Amino acid sequence: MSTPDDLDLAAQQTTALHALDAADSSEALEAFYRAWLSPSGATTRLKRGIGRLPADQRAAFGKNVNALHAELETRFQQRREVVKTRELAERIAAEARDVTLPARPRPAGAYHPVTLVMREVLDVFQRMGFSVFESPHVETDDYNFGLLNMPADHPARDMQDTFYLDNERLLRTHTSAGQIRAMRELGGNGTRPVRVVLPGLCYRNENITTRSEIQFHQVEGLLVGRSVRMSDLKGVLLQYARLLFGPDQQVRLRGSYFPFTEPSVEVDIRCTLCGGNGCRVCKQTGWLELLGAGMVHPVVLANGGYDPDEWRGFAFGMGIERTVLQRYDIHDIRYLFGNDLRLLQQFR
Amino acid sequence: MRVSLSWLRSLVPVSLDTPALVELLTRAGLEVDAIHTVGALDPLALVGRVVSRKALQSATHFVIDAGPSHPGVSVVSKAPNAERFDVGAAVAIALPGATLIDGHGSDFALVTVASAKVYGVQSDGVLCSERELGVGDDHTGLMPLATDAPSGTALSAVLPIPDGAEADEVLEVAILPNFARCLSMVGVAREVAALTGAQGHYDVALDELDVVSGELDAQVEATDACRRFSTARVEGVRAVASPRWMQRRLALAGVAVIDHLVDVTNYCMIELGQPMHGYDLARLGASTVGVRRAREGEAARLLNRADGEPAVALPAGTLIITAGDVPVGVAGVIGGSDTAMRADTTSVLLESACFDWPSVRRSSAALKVHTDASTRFARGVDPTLSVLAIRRAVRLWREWSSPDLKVTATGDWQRAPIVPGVVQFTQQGIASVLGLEATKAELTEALARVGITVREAAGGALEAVVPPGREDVTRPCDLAEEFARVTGFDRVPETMPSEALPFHTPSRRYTLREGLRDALVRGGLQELLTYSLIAPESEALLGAEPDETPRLKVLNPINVNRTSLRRTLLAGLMETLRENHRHTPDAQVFEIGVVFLPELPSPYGRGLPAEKLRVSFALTGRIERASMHGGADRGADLFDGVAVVEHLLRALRLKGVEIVAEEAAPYQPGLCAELRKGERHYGRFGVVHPEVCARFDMEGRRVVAGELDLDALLDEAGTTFKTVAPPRFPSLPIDVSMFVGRAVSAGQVVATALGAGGALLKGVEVIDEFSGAQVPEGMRSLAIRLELNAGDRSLTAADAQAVRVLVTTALTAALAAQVRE
Repeated sequence: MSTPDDLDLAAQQTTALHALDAADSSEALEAFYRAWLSPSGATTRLKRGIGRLPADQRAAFGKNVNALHAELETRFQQRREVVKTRELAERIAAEARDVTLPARPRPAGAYHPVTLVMREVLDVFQRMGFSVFESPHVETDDYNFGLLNMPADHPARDMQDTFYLDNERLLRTHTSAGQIRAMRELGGNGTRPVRVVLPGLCYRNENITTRSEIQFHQVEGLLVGRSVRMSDLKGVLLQYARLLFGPDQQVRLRGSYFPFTEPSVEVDIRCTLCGGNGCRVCKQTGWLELLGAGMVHPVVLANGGYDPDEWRGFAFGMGIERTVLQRYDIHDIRYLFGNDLRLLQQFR
Repeated sequence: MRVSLSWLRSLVPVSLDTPALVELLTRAGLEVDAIHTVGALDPLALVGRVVSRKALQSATHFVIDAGPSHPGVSVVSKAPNAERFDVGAAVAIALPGATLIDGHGSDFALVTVASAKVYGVQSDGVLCSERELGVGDDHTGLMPLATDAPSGTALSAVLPIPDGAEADEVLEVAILPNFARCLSMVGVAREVAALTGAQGHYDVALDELDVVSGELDAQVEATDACRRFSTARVEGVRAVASPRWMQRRLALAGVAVIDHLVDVTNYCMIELGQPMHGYDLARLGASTVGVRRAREGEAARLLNRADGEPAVALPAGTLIITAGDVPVGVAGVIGGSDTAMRADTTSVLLESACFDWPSVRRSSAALKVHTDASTRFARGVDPTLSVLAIRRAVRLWREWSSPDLKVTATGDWQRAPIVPGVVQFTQQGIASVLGLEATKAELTEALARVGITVREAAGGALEAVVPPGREDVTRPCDLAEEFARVTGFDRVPETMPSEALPFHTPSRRYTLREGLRDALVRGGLQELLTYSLIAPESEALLGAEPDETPRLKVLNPINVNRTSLRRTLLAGLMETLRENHRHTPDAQVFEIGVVFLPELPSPYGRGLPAEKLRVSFALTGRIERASMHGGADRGADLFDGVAVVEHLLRALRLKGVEIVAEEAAPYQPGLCAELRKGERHYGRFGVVHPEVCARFDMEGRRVVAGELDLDALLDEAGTTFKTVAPPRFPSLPIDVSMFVGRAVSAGQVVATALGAGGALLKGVEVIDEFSGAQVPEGMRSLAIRLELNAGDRSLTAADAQAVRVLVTTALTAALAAQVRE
């Protein structure tokens, strides 16, 4: 074996190539590099040893040392490539895991399902040009009933069981309570058209059962203009239904009654479950009740500051919770405000 | 309103099958809520076949094949001809839930089939006679069936149902407030005629009132509440059982059958829509009755109470019927029991009135008595009916129970002549409201179908003449509705508004609020929506407000847990955690909602309470979890609360809000903070006091919570902000350690350092806190990291030293910090 200072280049080469062959890891190759090829390595030292040689041998020796360095460099690079490839393959093989093991915990929030549906509805109406208008939960009897053409003792008050705070104040039973406020605030004293949706929580004094709650969300729509027709109501709601439920949706109107609209209608859409063939959800009719609507009653227009001979409007009001129950197959409305986290966390 | 189809068909020909009729009525505003079926028309009445038969004491035990869904029904029958039905014989079987007609006795009654044990054997149905099925009179035994139809076929498909059969379908129709006229069979029949174009024959048989002894004096004092008051004295009547057909119609209409005297008054109400009351003249103590308002302290014994019960106080002002000034009933609601017709009644005073709906509604509500009569008066009764109904009742009594009766006196007081309404309108007005074309001829024809006559008025306008029973029709828009209803809303096309309308204008408050909701969900919190109504006792558990705090209570709460409008969202969140922690111990929740503060003014005025938007959160249980991959469980603590609050402030682009130590319920002292910016206070957060947790049944559980004034936050929130260019040269960190007095907060240290460090100092972060033996008494050790950046050049050691000196000098001077080198 040659020593590092041995100037026998053939012997040095043999030693070096043995060492390179033996280096089978990145660390060993690193060591080889330090020992042979680095500025402090053997080939550098050999070059420095040139001074100990007779002058006539120096040129040839220098050339040979350079050749040795170049060869070792090439062989080193080749060897390193091989070792790297093998090591990567080994690492990849070693790192493989069972992908079906459980995930690391990661926090996730969720919207309440009522928010999800409410936003979807409002989003569609906003895209159709309606602005959001909000009004108070506690209302006067006037705004909730009187100004909506439901004076005291009006039979239509039977349709809504009301929570009263006193003779004058109550919890709004419908978002229609905001209609007059919207007309008065945005209508410029009966001079400007209005196109708004009024979302919000409403209250009814009903027994809490699987189907009914004391609070629920509504979205009211109100459009007032000089030439508004019932056909516009139908067109706008058809557009809404198509944006929300698909391009093949149809709407149909049925006669109904609300004191604040005349004519009044119920609006149905094709059953979203069966597409109109009849199923359990639509009670075999092929239609689902979407909302109540109608042309704003002249008395209500006048109370909103408009001359009912010059202006007309349509209004509609829909409940959000019914859609929530239908869409997510929730069979008990009490889950919604009971806030059972086992149900709500499914919305994560 | 329960509408018997056989009764309806006697008034108007109906060629539609039941589903089509239901669809027609529903689309015209008479929504059918349910269909009740009776006898052979009940879908639970089926063709069955005998599988086995054996004697069982005085009865027979069958096993019946009633089709694939009911292949082996065990039924015990006591019919005398049961043993004649051999294996394979067809029988009529009614399964549990079916409605049959009682086969015993001559009175009409309905029975619902139920499972039972007979002689110890399970019986899950009834084998029927003709009479039980309502297809014939025979009740001597089981009805033999000659049919090849497979077992399980509905009987209605195989059994001929003759005219006049008692098997029937009853539609339960929801009557909207403007359909008062359809609270009668004739009214529904008129509507069906209008919708189908059929010719009705609802002019029921009436008797002329051949009055013997002259006019009854009307004593109508309350003329403001009574429009018409008709009376008749009828002598020589007898209270016998009503004919079976009348019993049947009343039973199907849901009215109790009593005797012919009472039944006829009820029958006329169901048939015509006119409520009537008959007084026993022998018990009345007067020759006629009057109408006035009750005076203070008056009382009456009413028919809804058992005999012998004390009289019910009549609130002053209640519209009452009197006899010789003594109250004998509540007008339009209920009669008195002392003067009611009884089995021995022979002379009757019939009262048939038209009361205005407000007073009837008020009496009904005040006394909490709702009757078939009050339901009709509360929506308005056709004033033309009162005398017609008397004539109808006399006719019906005379036909069955009282052929020799005599009408000995009558009265008919009217407040004002009853005249048709007139509505001016234009053809174009109607068409343009609906958005369709309609000729004058079409309008005239359609309105005529609902009894409204169209005629030309002066100046080319049109006039609609509206019959007195249709007081819901007073304006052109009402005519538009009638036209659309009768001709079908399908005719209304689909158009889009054709005029310039305002575009969607985003509301800042709405946009920011929803953005915050998004941010909180992104931050890993679960959104809740809790009740606005809560028990004050629940809010009191927080101990945050004195007991005498003003609260808005509802007058008519649904239960004791929902009595008052909330003043905080926290109680709802704590209740939610209480209801969930046993099965879901780890929860991070928030709610955005309004609270109601009556002591503050509302922008809406008029005595309304301030409605303040709040955002609240609550964290409990583990916020980090150990898993098979490592990590450790960590429960939520104060600094998770700080994280939520800072996340929220960032989302709202709110700068300069300080977190300041505070002591306030419901939080634990020393673990509570307030958010402030100058004089503004945005709310508090902290670790909920252990005693408060215990009061919410969560003893030993740690809850971190907070509630912030979202209105105030949104006022200050920014919708946009300016960015800072990323530095082109690396930042230089310098760490400074110090001892500070315990009263000095980390926030003060950071603020002091930031204020003193000069332009190169870009940020200060607390990186360590330490207390222990090496720390001088009354102090703690804090370490901060200063982040330096010059922006346009690399920093030098001299720069760093200069900033360090500025900061440490300020800390020493302002906060008496002992900086450690």
